[in-house]
Amino acid sequence: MTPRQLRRPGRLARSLLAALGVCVLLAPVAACGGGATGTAAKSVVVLGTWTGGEEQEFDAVLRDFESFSHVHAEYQGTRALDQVLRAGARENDAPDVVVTASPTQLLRSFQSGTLLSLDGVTPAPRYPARWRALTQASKGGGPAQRFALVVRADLKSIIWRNPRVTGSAVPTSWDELLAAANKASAEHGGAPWCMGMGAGSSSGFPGTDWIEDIVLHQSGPAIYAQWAAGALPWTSAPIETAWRTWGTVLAQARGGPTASLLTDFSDAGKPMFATPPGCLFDHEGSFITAFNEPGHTRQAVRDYDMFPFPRMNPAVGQPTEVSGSFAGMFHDTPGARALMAYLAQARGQEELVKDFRESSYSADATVGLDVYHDPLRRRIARTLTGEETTLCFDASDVMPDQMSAAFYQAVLRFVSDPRYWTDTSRLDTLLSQLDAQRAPAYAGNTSSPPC
Amino acid sequence: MTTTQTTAPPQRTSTTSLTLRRFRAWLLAGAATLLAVAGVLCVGANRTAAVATDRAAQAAIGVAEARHALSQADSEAIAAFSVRDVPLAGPDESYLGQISLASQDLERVAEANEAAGGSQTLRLVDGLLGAYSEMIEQAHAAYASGSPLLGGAYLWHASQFMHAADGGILTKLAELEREEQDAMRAKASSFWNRPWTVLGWAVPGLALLAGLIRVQLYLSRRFQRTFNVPLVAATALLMVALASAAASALVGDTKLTTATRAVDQTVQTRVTEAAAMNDQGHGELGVMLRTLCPQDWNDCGATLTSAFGQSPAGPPAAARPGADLATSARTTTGGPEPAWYSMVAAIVMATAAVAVAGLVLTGMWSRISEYRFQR
Repeated sequence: MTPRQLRRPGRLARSLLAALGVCVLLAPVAACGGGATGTAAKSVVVLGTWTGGEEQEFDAVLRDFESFSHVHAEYQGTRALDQVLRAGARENDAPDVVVTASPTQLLRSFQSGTLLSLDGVTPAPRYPARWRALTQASKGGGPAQRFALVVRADLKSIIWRNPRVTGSAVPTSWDELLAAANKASAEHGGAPWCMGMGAGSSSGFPGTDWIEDIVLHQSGPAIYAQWAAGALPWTSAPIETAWRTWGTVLAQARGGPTASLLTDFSDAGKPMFATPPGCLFDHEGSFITAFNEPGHTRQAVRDYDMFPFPRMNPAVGQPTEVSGSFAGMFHDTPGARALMAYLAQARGQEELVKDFRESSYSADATVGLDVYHDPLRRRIARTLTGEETTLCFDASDVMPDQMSAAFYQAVLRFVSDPRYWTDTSRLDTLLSQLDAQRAPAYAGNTSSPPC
Repeated sequence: MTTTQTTAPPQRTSTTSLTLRRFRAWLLAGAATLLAVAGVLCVGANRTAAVATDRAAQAAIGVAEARHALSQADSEAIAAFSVRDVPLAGPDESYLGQISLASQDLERVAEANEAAGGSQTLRLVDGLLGAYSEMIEQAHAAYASGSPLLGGAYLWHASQFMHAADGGILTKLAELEREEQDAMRAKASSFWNRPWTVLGWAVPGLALLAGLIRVQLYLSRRFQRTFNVPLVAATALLMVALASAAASALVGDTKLTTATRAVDQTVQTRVTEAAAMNDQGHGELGVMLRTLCPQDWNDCGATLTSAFGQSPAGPPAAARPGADLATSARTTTGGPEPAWYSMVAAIVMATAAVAVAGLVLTGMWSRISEYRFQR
């Protein structure tokens, strides 16, 4: 045996020890690696206002998006979107995509640079002029850029009824409507108006819709736009008249102030279908049909129908108030781009119409009317996408958040005390309080053009 | 001339030295393997078990505590506004204290969160809580300005916001609580926490033990010496280490099961207590709203009849639970962590491996050195 041979086992041992030493050093790393994620898959986080049934319906849309694009989408719904976005802004932690009812909120984010342009990200949808104006803006004096998509459009200037009780005649003027309401009430019982202000942190919004519609139909789109933009005082004659007009409606609402305040907007119209009816007419947006119970047997037009908010001033004509949900992209990720592109396409828009039970409408004219399964829905869709009607966007949704919140609170206060409905000085005090909020709320803030 | 040719006898080569060196190499390799396995298990067990019993458990309990505090806060707010004269002062310190406690709990959850979508849910809850607090402030302002109907409406909207089945604060927290508990169970049942991971170090440990015995039998036969003290010590040390590590692993497994059960039980207790407070608050709210409704209850709206039936039943007959539960101890995780036992097992094995390697070198050195000059 040579010395070399004799030394071989030692070398072998040293080699083995060295190898195992490396293993010892690397083993913990390998163990740590076991928990690490692999290549991050494409995903997108969406924050929106839909909760409950609507959340499930939007989830169904996102599942179609996932199968279409192979991007994982996660939706978080909240009834306090503003507060959540504020909390996210504090932590510099915005979601990838936000769906909100306020185009002004997205406009400000776009102009401050946190919301991204959609030019080059999605194809341009075929929106009527009003919807286009709400979804594009210039920044820093440059050309107009698209910054939002209309995820769904809602028609607001409509009044719902049970035609089996009220008949099918369509009132063509405000006075005609009041006369019809009183007549039906005398014949069938029930209060002329259904009313419910409850809506979580947005409680009061059904009242703002009432006042907006009255301002729009009494004074016209120009006054409406000035008021929404903060250029017209709350104590001005057109606005004060609108509040007083609504006071006459409240005086005929089912259950008086108590029921109006304590009833959710989604429950307000239910007594229309009771026997005898509890109330006869319900002023709600087109989304209200979503609150028909699943599996219901009511047939549109026969069992429930709507007609346009009637003319109040022959000189104004018949403009229409609309609202909507808008999607904006806060992070330029492949997942966010894929989702925005999907929502801008006919497939995404049609899926929204199909999955949101009876309540969603597209603002995109490329979506055919045949996706709507009943004549009532087609009528609503035609109004939302037609160019022939003057559409004005929900004023409280284009007002700055602070003004909008004060408007909601003023509505609740107004409803709570019938003295506001008849006592002009009392109403003036309330409207003066709103005016006191106006200057700070609009200071340095732009808002989307409503009409 | 004759020449005598002598032939050298064939050199006899001993294989003993080679065998001894091989034995030493394999024993050292066995010790190194045991050290490596112990290292892997130490890291693995520490990471997963610690997370399961510490972070995820803290998060699950934190969410339950936050739910409990918010249920109590809502109940306190309703009680405050239901009592004559108190509304002018607004919700008392107990309400504010519970809101503050809930915020602290949620911060703790954010630090320990293990649920996949937990951080987003926490952000949502943070926003919802802000909206709820604003509504309670509005209720207070309305009561203070002499409008009990408006104050009651804000309180009703706020309470709905807290309890709504679709997107209410407590519903969101209940979802998060389930996710945190699921995360805890997933970690607790992970590969590193199963008892059969004992095999991971038991196999190389027993192989090393067998090797030590084999070498000692060889030495006993070859050198006529009954005992090699260092190798006997190494054998004894390894046997003790194997036994203690196995015991530690088994105890750790039992502790882990007990700990996860304790967390589940704590969460369930807090949920039950919160449900009692919710019932109390709901009953008191119904009575208070009934006073605001001068006409027939059915004319006060479909939302109220849906929430309270044809007539508000009032709070349960039992004493107000909030007062008792307010004093019940808030839960904090503590005690020895199950992960500690897994780490002890791994550290014992690692220490034993190093000691055995040293004893093998010592024990084999004197035998191998006898052949140091053999060529």
